Amino acid sequence: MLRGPAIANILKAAIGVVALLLISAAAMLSYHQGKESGIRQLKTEANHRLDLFASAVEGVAKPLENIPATIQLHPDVLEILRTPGTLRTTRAVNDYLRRLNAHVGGLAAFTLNVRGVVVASSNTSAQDDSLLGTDVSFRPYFLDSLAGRVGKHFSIGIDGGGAGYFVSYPVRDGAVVVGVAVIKIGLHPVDQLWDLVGSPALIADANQVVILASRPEWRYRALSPLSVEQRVNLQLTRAYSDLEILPIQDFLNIGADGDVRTDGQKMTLIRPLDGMDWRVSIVLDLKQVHRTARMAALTGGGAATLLLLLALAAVQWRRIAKQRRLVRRMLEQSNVALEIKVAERTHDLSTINDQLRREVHERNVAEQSLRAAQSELVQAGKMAVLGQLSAGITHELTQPLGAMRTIAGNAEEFLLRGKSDSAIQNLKILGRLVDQMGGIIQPLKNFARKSEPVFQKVDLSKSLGDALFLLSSRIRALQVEIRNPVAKGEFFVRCEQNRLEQVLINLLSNSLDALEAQDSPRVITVQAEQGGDGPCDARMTRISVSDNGAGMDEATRARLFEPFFTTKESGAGLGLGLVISRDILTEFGGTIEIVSTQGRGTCFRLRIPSYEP
Amino acid sequence: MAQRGWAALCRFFVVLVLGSAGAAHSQDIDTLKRIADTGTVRLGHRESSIPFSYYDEKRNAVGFSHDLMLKIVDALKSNLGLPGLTIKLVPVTPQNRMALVQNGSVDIECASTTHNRERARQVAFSTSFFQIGTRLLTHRASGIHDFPDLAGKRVAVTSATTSERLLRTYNERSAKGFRILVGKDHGESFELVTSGRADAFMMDDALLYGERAKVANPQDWDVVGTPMSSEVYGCMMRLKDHQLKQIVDGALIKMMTSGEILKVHQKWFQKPIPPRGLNLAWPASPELRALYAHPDDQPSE
Repeated sequence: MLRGPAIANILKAAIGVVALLLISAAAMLSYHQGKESGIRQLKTEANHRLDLFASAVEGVAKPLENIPATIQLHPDVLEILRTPGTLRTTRAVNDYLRRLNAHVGGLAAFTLNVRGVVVASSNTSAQDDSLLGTDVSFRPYFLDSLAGRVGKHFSIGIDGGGAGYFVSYPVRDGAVVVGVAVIKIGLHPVDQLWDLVGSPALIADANQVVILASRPEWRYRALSPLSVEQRVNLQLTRAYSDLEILPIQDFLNIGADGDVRTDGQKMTLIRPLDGMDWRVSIVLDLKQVHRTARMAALTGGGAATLLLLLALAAVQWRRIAKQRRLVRRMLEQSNVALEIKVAERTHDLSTINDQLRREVHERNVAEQSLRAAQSELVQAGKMAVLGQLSAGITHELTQPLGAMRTIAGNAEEFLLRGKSDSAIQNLKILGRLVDQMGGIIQPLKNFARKSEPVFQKVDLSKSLGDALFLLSSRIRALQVEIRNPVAKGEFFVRCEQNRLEQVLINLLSNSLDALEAQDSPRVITVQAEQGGDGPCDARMTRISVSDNGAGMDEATRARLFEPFFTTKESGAGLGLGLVISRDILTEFGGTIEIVSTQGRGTCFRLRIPSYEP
Repeated sequence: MAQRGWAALCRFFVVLVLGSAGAAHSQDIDTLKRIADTGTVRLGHRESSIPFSYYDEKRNAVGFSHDLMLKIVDALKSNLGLPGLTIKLVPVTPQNRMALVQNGSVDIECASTTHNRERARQVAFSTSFFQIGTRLLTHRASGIHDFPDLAGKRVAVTSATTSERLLRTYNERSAKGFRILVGKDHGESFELVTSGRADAFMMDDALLYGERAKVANPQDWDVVGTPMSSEVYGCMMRLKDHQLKQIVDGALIKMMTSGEILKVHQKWFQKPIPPRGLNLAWPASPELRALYAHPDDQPSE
């Protein structure tokens, strides 16, 4: 199992190999192209030189080629061919041929009879095809022309005659071929032309045998090894005398049809010569071409390397850019996610906010309704207290009312009797009694008045006095000793007169309730003092209302501030008195607490902010 | 001035010659018409192809093939309705025989020319009229009994014959390293042997027997060796000369099927013949009789 790094290494190696392959391929391609173009250029140049050379060679041979056709026009020529010539006519023809040959610059001009024997010639002394009396019946040029065609062949002269290009024409007497006229053209001027080619060069004839060469050792060598049949043919025509024709050395073998052969180091270029059945071959050295090609390969390889490096850089750049884009996209995504989350949270928050606001509103509404309810409750509480008080008050009013009936009856009698003084006296008493009754009703009226809580300067003694007055009938009935040392104008609290009165009535009523079952002495003690220990009480007025009743157990005390909790029998109380009292106190920033010990009585401790001007 | 004159003359002549050459080419090969027009037939013959075609002591052309050719001319006469047809005899050599047929100097050549594929590309051949094997003529004392014995010897052969090519090819192939001497014709080649300049003479067996007939003591000379080739002779005409070939073939086949040809054969192979009246004493072989029984014009392999 391959692991990631291993695969990465293999991949890297593979990429390296591929890069190397690409570079070498580029180098090879460049080499090939360099070589091709070098060879092309070389070929073009060589072909130019070859053309020049070929036309120069043709210029050596061609101008003389048609000369034999003119030989038969000499009347003596036909005569010596028709019948064995006399010495005189033969001499005349020989002379004619010698002059003709000298004029055109051939090696020899001669005439053959139909048996291939030289019957007249410019050459009467030197061994050669052209020597008078020589039998050249085996020569292809003779046989060609005897058959009626133009013969053109390179040959080395018979018996040591020099090499030459033989061109022959049939000699006709009427329609009948009676002989053959030949000119032998020297090719030595070609040896002065090799410089035109500039490279090693040679000319091969139709037998693929070299007849002329810039290097003497190439002459009379076969371009490809001769077959037995070819060797026999050469023997039959004796084209190269008795020379043994060996294969050529240091020269690229060529085929018959191809025009270019190369073995990598050298290249052979071949060009036929017009109308001569010969081919010129030149050997071109490819060293310079190879050198140029190697340079091209180097350049190509270098360029490929550069390109690859650029490609690598581009790939890296792209990778970095891609990573950058990736990071940016991730950032954008997280940003979007964050924003979505924030939006969600914001939405949640605003929902909660709205909810809260709604709740606050509801709470406000509830508070208001609570406050309203509380006010109603306070009022209700008051009314309840009034109800409880009404019996006592009624009793209070009953007495003056009875007295007033009596006095009013008396005054009537007095008036009837004319005792106006006494009647006036009685009316005065009546007035006093009415005032007295008003005095009784006034606090009640105050108490019953429904009022909103308002902070005002309240004299504690006034509130205590009113409360005790309202409860005075029960106090008297129960014979409770009230110990109230609070003097008028001694303590001022920041509160509302009416509400404080209500609280005090509640507390005093509770004490009175507690004292009902208590034997004498029944005592209620009221105490007040300004300030106290610590910063909490410094601005408070502390008031305590205690009785010497039976007290209460812990369980009762714990439930004392529960609404509608009452220890009294049904109908005697709502169980709201203490609850209302605490609410009132809390409203004014005060507190209430209860200290009660079983058998030792109960003490209510109030803390109310002192009035500070 | 003189130079310019020469040049002008040359140009004039060139035009003239090329023009006439073109005309010669186009007149081509209706030989029968030309024979009828001129009343002349040109017959090619050899000077020393004994006993086929050669000069007798009076330099008259004679021989087996020559007789056949004259019979053909008879057929030609009756065919063309030209009883007075003139015969023009043209001596040919092994070298120039085909060129002379090609250039029109010779209309028919019946001698000792082997019909093979290479030659059939240049000239037309009639129905084959003889069959030979190529062998060696050597002196009894030469110690040569077959071709392998030629190593280190001097061998004569006649120029431009099938034998020359065969011998040279054999020498190249086998590397026997014998020396080849070439005679212009069979007489000259045989002269090379009798004069001691050559040890053997390679040629068609019939011709070798014919040469042997010339010497004073023929029994000293043997024809030896396994034939290097088997060849047939035919009469040469120009290529595509179909009408002439038809007449020539017809005449030959008639002689063969009638048995007339065997009489001619007897005359030249089993009776004394010129120049010295020697009898070759070489009756027709079964192969030759088979050829006459079933004439064909196929070349030698």
